[in-house]
Amino acid sequence: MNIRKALGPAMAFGRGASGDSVAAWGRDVLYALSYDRTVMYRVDRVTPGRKGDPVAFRVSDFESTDVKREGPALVFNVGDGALVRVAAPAETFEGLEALFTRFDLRGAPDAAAVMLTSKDAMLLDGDLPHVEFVARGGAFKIVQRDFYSGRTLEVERKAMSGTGSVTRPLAMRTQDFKTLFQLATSYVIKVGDGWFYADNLADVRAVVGGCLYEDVGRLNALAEEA
Amino acid sequence: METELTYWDIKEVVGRIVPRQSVLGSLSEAHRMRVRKTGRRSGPWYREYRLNPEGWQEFSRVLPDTFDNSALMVSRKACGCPLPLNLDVWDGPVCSFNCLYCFANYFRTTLYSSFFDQVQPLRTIDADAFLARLGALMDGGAQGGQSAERRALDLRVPIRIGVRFENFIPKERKVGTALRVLRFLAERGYPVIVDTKSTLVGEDEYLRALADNAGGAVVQFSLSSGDDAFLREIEPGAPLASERFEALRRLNEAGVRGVARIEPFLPFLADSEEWARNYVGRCREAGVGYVCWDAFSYSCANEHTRRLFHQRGLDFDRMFYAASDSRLATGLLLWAMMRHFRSEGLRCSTYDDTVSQYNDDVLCCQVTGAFKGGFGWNVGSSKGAEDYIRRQGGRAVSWGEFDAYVEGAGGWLSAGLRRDFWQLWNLDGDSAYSMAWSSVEPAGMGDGGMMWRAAADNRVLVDALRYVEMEAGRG
Repeated sequence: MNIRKALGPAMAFGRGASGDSVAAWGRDVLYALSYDRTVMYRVDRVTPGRKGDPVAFRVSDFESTDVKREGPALVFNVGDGALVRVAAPAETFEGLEALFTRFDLRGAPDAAAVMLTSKDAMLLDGDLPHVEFVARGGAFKIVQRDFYSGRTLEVERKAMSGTGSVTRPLAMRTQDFKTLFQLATSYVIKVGDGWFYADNLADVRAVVGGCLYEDVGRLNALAEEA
Repeated sequence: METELTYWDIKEVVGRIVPRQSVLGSLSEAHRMRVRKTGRRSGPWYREYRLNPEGWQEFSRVLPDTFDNSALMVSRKACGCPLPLNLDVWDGPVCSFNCLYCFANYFRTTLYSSFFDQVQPLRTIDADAFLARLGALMDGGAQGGQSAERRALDLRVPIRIGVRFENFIPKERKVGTALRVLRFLAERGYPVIVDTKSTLVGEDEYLRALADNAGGAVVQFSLSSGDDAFLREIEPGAPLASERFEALRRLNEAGVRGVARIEPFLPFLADSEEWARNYVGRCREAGVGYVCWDAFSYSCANEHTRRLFHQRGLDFDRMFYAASDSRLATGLLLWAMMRHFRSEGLRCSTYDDTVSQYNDDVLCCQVTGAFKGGFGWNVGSSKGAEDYIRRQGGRAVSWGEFDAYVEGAGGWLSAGLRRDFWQLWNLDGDSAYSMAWSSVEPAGMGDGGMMWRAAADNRVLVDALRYVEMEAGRG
């Protein structure tokens, strides 16, 4: 996958006055992390492959694939002798890789898992902020609760792989769910303890922070718990 | 509307519908990950260009150093506000209290004169000139003509200080502009309402100026929580809750009605049983008998506010969905928490139209009885309409009838307000309020458009409560 296409969903994560989405690129692997730390994905076999040291950059700063680190700055060569110099983020390729690895469920065959496609995503109501995942008794349901009108939307998939079940109710932001399908048309989605792992069984993997139904109004920082 | 469920039973069900967000990485890292750019311009924050035959031309309105002309204004939200005569004697690019959820920043750029084309430093009015003009307006002088402000003053609508900006900032202590205005109003015996987070109003000179006002004075302290540590997180520059309650105690003891404003009400962040116990206890100690409520302002549902909350580990989305975006959840949670506070002996009212039929005071700011010399209010507003229609006991009310009622009760504040409210009455126009949100229902067409009649309960709340009771039963 071309690196520009791979960065597309990360661009959609947004930027603003107080934070940016960040990406890291090393060899043929790209990691991207949303500014609010709710979604992270990894793309393998990115083209072109990076020949030099890995590099991390704010996604909105990306100008060209010809980029090098110079002290605290990144320098993008945009051609015709023009250079764009920007401040480098604190994040590193190794740091993002370590963060991703914490939540990587590729080697967890017992996790509750289901194959979902972009067609499933199209069934969802984009105006509702969350999608709840329910895995029980071999069946898998995605549920949207419409707290604007009081109705509930359910999509049920009879065949679920894996032997696990979702031990506590867990949801994903609808926006994050739809973002996944900008990179691939289908995923095996596994449910972790507080997060989701999505794998297209080829070159795209993602982890998404789950939404918990607890009596707490503070954000749940998974990495600090891990 | 009755139920055996407590606020916290209802909240548990809402919590099963609106979840809490997990984040993958440390939030302190996110806090560090600021956008850093060098060489940014240092001039005006905002530039506007307009295309004309000569090309793009920079357009700007360079405002004078003072803002006397816009200091006293009838709110552009007067369609929904019974007490819309606003006065601010201080203004600036940002208030030193730095509340994360500040809606005044947004309101000031949209509701009143736009002074953000050229950002001014912290500034105050020319008190001599302003008070001379205010005096002439009050005395029926030629200045002001038939303006809405002149009409409001004729009706003795209380002047409300502090809707657009915090007026009792540290610099006020040195300059004393607001103090001069309070003393002027006291001399005139003109009723005044102060909205503030500053404890300055509890200090002797200010306290005297308020207590000596024969027309009466009300001070509303914005207090989303009684917890000092939590307020330090969301209002980092403002006085602590304990300091504000102490100022309220002094005001109440001096005969000035001190009201606590829980605005915004913050479900999941400041709504636990312990939070309620603490708040009620502090109200009792400070002699506070009135609490005003409102949902989180929809106007500050922007990405910047969300990030400010997230950087402090606070789940903005969960709070916002439950406290503003979902009318069902917001209305029900507000209603239930107000009911709890009422059971503790506090009188409660809300600005939220969905819940306002259960208010203890027709005037949602809870000022009835506080003004000794008599006062008027803007009956040509959604609150005035809801009150009038509900007093007709189920009889349908036409626009023509309501129009005549307003004229008989002192008249409309302006022809523009009458036109805007006629549109609102007919579910038209671009007002921030809707008749359909309140506890009235359409009853056909009549003189001047739609007719309305009182509903027993707000249907939205009844349906939401029924759903919650069903879900609570499922455990």
